[in-house]
Amino acid sequence: MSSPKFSRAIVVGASSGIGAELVRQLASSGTVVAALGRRMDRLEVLGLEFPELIHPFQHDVTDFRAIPALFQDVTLKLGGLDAIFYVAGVMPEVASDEFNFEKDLAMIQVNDAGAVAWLNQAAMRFAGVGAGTIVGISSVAGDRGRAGQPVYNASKAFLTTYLEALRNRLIGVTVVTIKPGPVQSEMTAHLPGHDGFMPASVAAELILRKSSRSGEHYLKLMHRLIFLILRNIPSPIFRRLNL
Amino acid sequence: MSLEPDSIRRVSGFGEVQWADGYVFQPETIAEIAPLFDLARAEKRTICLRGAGRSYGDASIDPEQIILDLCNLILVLQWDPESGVITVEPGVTIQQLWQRCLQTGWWPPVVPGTMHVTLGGALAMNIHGKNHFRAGSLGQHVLSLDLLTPDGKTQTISREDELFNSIIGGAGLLGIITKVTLQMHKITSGELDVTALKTVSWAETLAYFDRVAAEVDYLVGWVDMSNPKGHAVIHHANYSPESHPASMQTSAQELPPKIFGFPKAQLWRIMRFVTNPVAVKVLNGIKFALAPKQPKTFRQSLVAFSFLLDYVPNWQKCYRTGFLQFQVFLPKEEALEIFPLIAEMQRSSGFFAYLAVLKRHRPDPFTITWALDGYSLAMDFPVHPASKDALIAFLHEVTDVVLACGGRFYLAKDSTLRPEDIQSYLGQETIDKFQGLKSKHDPENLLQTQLARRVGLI
Ligand SMILES: Cc1cc2nc3c(=O)[nH]c(=O)nc-3n(C[C@H](O)[C@H](O)[C@H](O)COP(=O)(O)OP(=O)(O)OC[C@H]3O[C@@H](n4cnc5c(N)ncnc54)[C@H](O)[C@@H]3O)c2cc1C
Ligand SMILES: NC(=O)c1ccc[n+]([C@@H]2O[C@H](COP(=O)([O-])OP(=O)(O)OC[C@H]3O[C@@H](n4cnc5c(N)ncnc54)[C@H](OP(=O)(O)O)[C@@H]3O)[C@@H](O)[C@H]2O)c1
Repeated sequence: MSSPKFSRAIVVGASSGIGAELVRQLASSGTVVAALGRRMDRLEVLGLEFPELIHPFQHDVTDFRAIPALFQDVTLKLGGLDAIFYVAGVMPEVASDEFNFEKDLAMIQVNDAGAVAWLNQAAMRFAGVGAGTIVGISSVAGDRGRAGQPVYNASKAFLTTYLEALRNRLIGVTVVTIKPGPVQSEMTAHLPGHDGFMPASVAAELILRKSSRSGEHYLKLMHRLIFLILRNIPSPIFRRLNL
Repeated sequence: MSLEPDSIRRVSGFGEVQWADGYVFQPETIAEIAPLFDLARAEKRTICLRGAGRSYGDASIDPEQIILDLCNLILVLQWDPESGVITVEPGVTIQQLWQRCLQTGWWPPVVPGTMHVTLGGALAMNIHGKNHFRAGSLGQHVLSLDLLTPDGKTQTISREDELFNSIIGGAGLLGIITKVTLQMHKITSGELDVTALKTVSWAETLAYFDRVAAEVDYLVGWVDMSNPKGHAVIHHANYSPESHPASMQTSAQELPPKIFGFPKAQLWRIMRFVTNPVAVKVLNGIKFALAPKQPKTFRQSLVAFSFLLDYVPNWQKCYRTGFLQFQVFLPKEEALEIFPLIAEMQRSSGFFAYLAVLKRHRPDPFTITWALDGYSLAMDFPVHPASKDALIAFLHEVTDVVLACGGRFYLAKDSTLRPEDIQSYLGQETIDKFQGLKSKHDPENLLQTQLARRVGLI
């Protein structure tokens, strides 16, 4: 399967990790990309790699009310839109006995509310033209509720379900849910075994390839199999497994 | 009023190669138009006027801008069956026009190959018919029109006004045509006496055209571009002189719902299978073989003769990945040398036009015009994504040949012209004049199209 060719794309959460790699790879295949995130300095440096093709925009996705107008500005700048990648996400460290509403709210706001704010705009537009691709970076973490990261898990489950619903609602639009396993990035840098995680560039390449087909996609066959099993373990048993 | 995300639609040219997503507005009344100028200013967007979208390229598309679709402005404001003068809103189509007027003995003075074009769009491009050499272009039958400019004012412009000749053919850039008063053509029968015959070479075809032009009302040739000699089938027609009211009933003019037993709405799906180079060459050969060697005359309804292309709705979908239409206008002195050269260039390049239609023309007084004393050949080239760039490069080569001999082009059919091309055939002085009018009537450049920017008209 080869990557679909997009002329114009938006990447929300583009300043580091998977998002930055997506921008880089899209631009190197000729796509005009709007790269969004809070850290403008990072976006500008990234933009220098393909000054003609990469357009940085400073944006905090929790600035929800600004999104409809910004979406119009960005699509005007790009001259149209074929695909949007919602990559922005946070996963603060949470101790196993910690219940910190501030951290939880941040995850809900960035991973979910921001996604809805951006992807609703894209959905309206793509529904109108009967074409387009929506890609959301969810996570294997959304497949089960686990002891370590209650709200992160729940936030990714929300995103997965929201994207499934969009897929069922929009005709002619490709809606892609990506569920990566561990990937090397700033988000995971503190985790044990980080060096063995999938490099972000590899993840981005796989994501682009899988963006041609509507549906939920894991990045590794092994994950697909493992999570098929994990998803189907009844909750009382899952709890005892202590995974 | 604001730009709503759910108003975004994909609009394309008829060739389905060029498209753009824009904020589509479809006013139901003329009064709804003016507020859009303020919306455009507030949102820092421009406005692209659009009729039925039957121009082949990018004449009525513009990405991310306001697409002002005038198709719902369909009122007939005045109709006088005594004088044949009709006043209509700009979204009225050629179809509406003939259906309204035919029974009382009037027919549109000029019609294109499809009846599904709006008068606003037809005048912005200044369309011609198979009777151009005789009747002139549609703009020459307009008595007056109303122009709404971005300052919100509407002025009535008659043919004597200097601006008139720049609005006709002005590609929707000087203002919005909101009302048109047109002189219809008197007829006594809804039928034409049509003559068909075949010719075996360019020389014979052009000579025949010149011989009959003075005597016929309509004249058109179909040329087989895959044939090295230039095989052609010519049709010419005259309005039937008899009085035949029955043939002027709308029902007498309907196109058949089925062709060879197939429901015509589905026919393109079947035709798709023969829209490839081998089949087209075979079919061209058959078409030529079946055409009469000696002129053969028969009666045909005005609609059947005029709107052949409407027989098969959606025929453009036969070209799976779209097509480019490319119409070259050559001065009469050059035609015999240059048409065979273009055909030869096609054979040696491997790009050949599946359909090529020859017409005879005369000059007209309009500023942005394709018209000249000579011939035009309108060619349909299938587009395949892999060879699209090469096709465009090839058409640029042909463009250079046409311009070198004093030829011209038609924006309604265009997808490939460059600024230097229109500069070459219009002349810098004409472009300066047009741009002067543009800055006078639309100083903020609110009216734009992708085509206008591409060819450097604005
Ligand atoms: C099958 C087929 C056969 C054809 N045959 C012929 C032919 O024989 N001869 C010929 O001359 N052409 C022919 N054409 C081309 C067609 O007639 C022109 O492209 C015509 O302009 C289409 O009108 P439209 O309503 O679709 O306008 P559009 O294509 O939507 O718009 C054309 C232009 O008009 C402008 N415009 C639209 N409305 C207004 C308005 N109210 N005021 C000011 N500007 C406006 C637009 O901005 C644009 O620049 C043919 C096209 C097809 C598809
Ligand atoms: N790494 C993994 O193992 C893994 C696994 C599965 C899924 N994921 C998901 O993949 C996505 C990308 O993560 P990553 O691993 O590449 O981590 P990362 O390097 O930390 O990237 C996160 C991106 O999100 C942006 N972002 C965060 N908060 C934002 C806000 N309020 N407004 C705008 N942008 C914001 C960041 O930009 P700014 O900080 O500049 O704003 C950054 O560009 C996340 O959704 C994550 O949940 C990661």
